[in-house]
Amino acid sequence: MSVETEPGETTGVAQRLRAVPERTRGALVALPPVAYLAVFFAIPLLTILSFSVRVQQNLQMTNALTLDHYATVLTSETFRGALFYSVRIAVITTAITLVVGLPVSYYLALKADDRFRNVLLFLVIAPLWINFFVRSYAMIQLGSPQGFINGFLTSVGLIGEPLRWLVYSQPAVIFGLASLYLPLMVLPLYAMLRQLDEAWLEAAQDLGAGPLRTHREVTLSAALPGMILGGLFVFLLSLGNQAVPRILGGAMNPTYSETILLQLEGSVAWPTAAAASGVMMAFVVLVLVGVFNVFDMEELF
Amino acid sequence: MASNVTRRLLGYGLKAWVLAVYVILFTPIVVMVLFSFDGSPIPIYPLDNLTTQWYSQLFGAYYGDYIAPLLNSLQVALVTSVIATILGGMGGFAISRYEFTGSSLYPFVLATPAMIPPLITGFGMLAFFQQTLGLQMSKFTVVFGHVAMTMPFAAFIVAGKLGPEEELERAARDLGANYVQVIREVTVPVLGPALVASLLLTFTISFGESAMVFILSGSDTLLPVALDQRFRAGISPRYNAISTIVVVITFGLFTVAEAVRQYFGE
Amino acid sequence: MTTSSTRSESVTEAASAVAVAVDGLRKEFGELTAVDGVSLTIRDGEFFTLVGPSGCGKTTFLRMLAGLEDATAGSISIDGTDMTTVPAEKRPTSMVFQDLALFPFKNVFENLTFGLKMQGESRDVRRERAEEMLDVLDLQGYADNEIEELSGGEQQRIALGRSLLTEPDLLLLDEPLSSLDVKLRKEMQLELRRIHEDLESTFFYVTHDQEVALTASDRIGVMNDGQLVQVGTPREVYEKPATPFVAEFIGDTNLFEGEIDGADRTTVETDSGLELAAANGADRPDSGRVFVSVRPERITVSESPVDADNSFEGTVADRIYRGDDITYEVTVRDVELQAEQPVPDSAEPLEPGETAYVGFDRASAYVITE
Repeated sequence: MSVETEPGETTGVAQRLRAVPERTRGALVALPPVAYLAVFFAIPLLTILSFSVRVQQNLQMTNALTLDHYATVLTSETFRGALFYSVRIAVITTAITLVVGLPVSYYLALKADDRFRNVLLFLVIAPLWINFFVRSYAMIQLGSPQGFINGFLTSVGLIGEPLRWLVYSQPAVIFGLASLYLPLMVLPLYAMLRQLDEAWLEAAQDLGAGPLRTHREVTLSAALPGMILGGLFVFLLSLGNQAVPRILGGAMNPTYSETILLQLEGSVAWPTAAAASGVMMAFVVLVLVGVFNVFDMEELF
Repeated sequence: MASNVTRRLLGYGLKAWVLAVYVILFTPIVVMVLFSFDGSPIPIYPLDNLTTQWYSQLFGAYYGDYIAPLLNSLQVALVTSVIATILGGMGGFAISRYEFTGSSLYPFVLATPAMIPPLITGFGMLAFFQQTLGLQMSKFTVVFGHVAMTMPFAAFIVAGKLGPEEELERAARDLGANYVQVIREVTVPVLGPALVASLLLTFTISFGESAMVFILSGSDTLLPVALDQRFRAGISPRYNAISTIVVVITFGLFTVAEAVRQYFGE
Repeated sequence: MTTSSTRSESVTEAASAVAVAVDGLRKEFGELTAVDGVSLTIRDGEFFTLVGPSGCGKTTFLRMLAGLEDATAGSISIDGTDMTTVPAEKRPTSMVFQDLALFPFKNVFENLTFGLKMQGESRDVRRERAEEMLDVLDLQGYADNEIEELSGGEQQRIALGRSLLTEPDLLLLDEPLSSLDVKLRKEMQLELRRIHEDLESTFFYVTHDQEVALTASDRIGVMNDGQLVQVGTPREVYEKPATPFVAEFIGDTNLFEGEIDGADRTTVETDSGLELAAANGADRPDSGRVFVSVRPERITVSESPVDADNSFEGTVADRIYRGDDITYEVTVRDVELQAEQPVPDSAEPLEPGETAYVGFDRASAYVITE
């Protein structure tokens, strides 16, 4: 079949393809991804949900249904404590990334030179790229009692005893999560702030707003959709992350994800873990629905 | 004037803040890279006895402990990125170009896997594979999980680039280009960077993911598992070496990405 | 060409208070000097327009008045108080930006009352004032609309309203009409004039469009290359340009270069070989090089010789019909003259190629010495 044709005409194969109505073509293209997800995502999730309501006997799932597992999870101190702990960490992490990330995004969007900007953007994204584990270990080395920071501070005489809370503690977990997910906050904020017209800032000034007030009124309002999207990402991902707490958190207070993982590793009591997962899923859905209902997300798309 | 002073302070403060953030973000990594050359068996401050022995050990006696898992992880990431990009790319096309039954919900459906914690998805796949299908866990099962997780990103990257491209296609056709020419001159230059970006992002996400790896890798050892095992045995200087290698790989990938972007003249 | 209203004459004559005094204002951006030592006074209640080509520094000057740019040298005082180092938010000025700079994430009410909010006014007061302003702007009921729902002209008015609500001593306008279509622009010009008279406030307007300057202003300043070249009423600037640049920039003109004839000081021998009787012009020297500016509407074109101090024969090179008048380009001894005539009722307009006679009085030839 000849490939060179008149402008506007199509080749044999292409012609046949084009003969198929658009709706069908669309469905054909859209199908494989969805099919894959149906098999490898939807079914697994449904499997968990199914496990979470079944009775387990002798390591086998029976067909008897029960809500006991959910009751166990929801009343268990371990799970409830872990859930609160996880949510608390996620909230603090989100707040920190917001406070830290906003000035950085502002600077990148409005103040940096063009060439500089690309480099800086890359550097912000780079941490996302480097394996979580690698960075967490790096932090441990840095902050452990025998580590770099303590060694340095001791040698210059600033402290007498090594600081114990730099690693294997809640602050360490928060720090790890925040530095890991900071790019996820910076990028949406950056995208929104790029659209900020400096004239708005000048207009606000001209109308009587001092430097701080101007930023409050203009910059924050303009960045808001980015803050919401970024906040959502950081919150959900912090909630679900298990690598960072596992390494940096020590054995003390496991997060919710860690608890589930421990269940999986330690025993074959899958239904409980399944119920715990079900609770987590419900929580995620609630958060998503809540956020999308409260905020108008149109400006993002 | 007071507000002039505030203005100046804000200006300096901003720069200082940004600098501090970058320093804090990168210090652990920089220190780690430096200490990979530290001579003492336990990486303690100060840095002394510069040596590359840890690297040689990695490729020598400790190959199985570190390099082999690294290669496994790279393999998984590579396969994941290709499959996720293909499937996600199709999804991206569907989102930006076509209308069909349910096309308004379609983007949300595709986005869901990114919202659910990988731990849970992984658990579900374990349950499904092991209980229902009776499969053994291996690095291939990890791939299945990673593809599901990274597909949304591939889809939206491609969709994002294809949207505006459609107009360019129409313009080209208007100027007389035939089907093949349009693809060659318009679609490929736009699609190219999108696919490359997608490959890189999915690769990175897969490479850095640990929860699913723990659950789904079974008899194969991937890097997160290996590091975790070794770490529980005690801090080892070889960590820094393997970690530095990972960092180099990552930065190398980004350089490749930049080069490709320049090539396509973004 | 319309001249400004009689109001301008009375403003010039009355001893009005000075609202803004600028002395030797200078702004350098590194190597580039944008504003080169400009001194100017703006009178209370005046509508002053600063015109000049793109890049002449007028916008920079405006921004310095607003406080959005620091001055490299010189001083600005408003109502007698030195404002040179006062930051923008503390100045009694308000600016209407060229692209309006309305806040897209706030609605009409919030935009309008932003300045009042900064002043600490309560919500009730703000509501009241907003309603009043919407009335003045003829946009009643729009308070809760989003900015993007408004048309260009409506947004214009909101931007104006926003600046006016703070009751500034000086309202600054940066080419606010440039994005509007021609008809809308004409309407808005009149609106501005009307609002200015209603409010009796001081307006400082910057534009490259000299038609706006001529129709709405009490006084005009012409700026070029960072320097203020001439200041005066529209009539003064139009009829008595201080430099060739002003003559050519404001309105159209026929500009000649030549030497004053020593013997008879009222004759100018142009480089192109014409002998012009030129009576107008201040401070004419006895001899030396000068420019002569003749406005097209002062030149008569006819089929038969024109009885005037300056009369020439030539050929019609081109003819442009403009609805309200006709512009002829007539070639006289290698010189192309532009002449504007109202459309004749009875006689046929002249065709290109025909012989034509042009003429103008000595009073219509204005001598400019640089």
